[in-house]
Amino acid sequence: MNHQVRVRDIVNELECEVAAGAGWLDNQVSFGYSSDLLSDVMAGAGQGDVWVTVQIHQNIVAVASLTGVSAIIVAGGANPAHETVLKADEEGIPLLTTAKPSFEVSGMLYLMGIRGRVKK
Amino acid sequence: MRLFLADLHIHTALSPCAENEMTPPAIVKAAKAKGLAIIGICDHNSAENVLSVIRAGAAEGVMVLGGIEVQTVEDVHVLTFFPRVDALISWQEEIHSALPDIENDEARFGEQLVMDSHGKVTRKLCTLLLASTSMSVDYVGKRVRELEGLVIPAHVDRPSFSLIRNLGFVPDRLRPCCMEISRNISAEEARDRFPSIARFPFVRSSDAHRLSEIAAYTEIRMEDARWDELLLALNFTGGRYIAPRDATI
Repeated sequence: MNHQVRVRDIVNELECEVAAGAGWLDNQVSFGYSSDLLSDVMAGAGQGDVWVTVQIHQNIVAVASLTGVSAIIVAGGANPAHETVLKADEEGIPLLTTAKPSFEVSGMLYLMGIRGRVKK
Repeated sequence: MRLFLADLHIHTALSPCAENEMTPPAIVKAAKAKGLAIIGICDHNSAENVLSVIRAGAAEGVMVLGGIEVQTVEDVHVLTFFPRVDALISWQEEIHSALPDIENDEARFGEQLVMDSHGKVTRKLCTLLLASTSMSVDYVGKRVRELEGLVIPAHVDRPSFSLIRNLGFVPDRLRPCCMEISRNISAEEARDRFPSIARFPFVRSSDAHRLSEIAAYTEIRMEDARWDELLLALNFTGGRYIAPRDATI
């Protein structure tokens, strides 16, 4: 099951680029959360989640920090803004990028044994 | 000091989702009938009808603020206003070139009518205006400041196309002059539900897509209906203020 999954395993399995937070790849992953509305993520994501989004605004780092997510995956080939990368390094949040669309990323995470967070 | 009634977010027939009755003279007439001295014209991603409404307003003594409701890359709607028409026009050019090249499907979305100040249709815009530009909210904030304009995040309490819904809270760099709330929420409730907007002044607007929706949703106390006075009111200088009026729903 998912209790062993670390961010590093996701980077390897999904062949993600690590845009920021390379020093925190040993973060453990609890659940998964996919959403592009940050107010929804603030209300729904939780400690240790891997969060899949196409948003690249720097607010994603603050939201990740606030909710305690273990990593952000920016899917669909979106390029995080420069400030977003700087902020993620500053806050120690792994920021992963991939050309794979959100749907595929979520599916691959599920196959790794990660399940969606249902309720906070 | 005088009290002016305003509605700063009104669409014209240029917006495909707006009724074709939203002609420059009809908007001005409806505004006057509601006691409005100041109106803001903000179509989606375009300002093609602003000059015509300014002319129609000048004939009737209604001050028209020329603006554009930009849709950012994050799907956030932001009202942008400018004191000078040339700034608005160059902003419009930048927005138009940042739109995806999708043709408007009139049957599905509605017509995009450009009109003269008498309401006569002069042409139609072909590129669909209901789309996200490639500009981020932060860029919009920066660029509009350079052009000496004002930035107002639109209907922040709504479930879609809202700064707060999409980005969670107000980004530090945006520096808006105030927040627009919809007619569905009181200022008190908005401050309570969205703490990150509590430190900003509020305006309430109709976001009118039809004539009957135009209403006196904002009041401004200032010396005169002028841009420089509006800036002072936004800073609450010398007894001036801007404030939402209670929803009349």
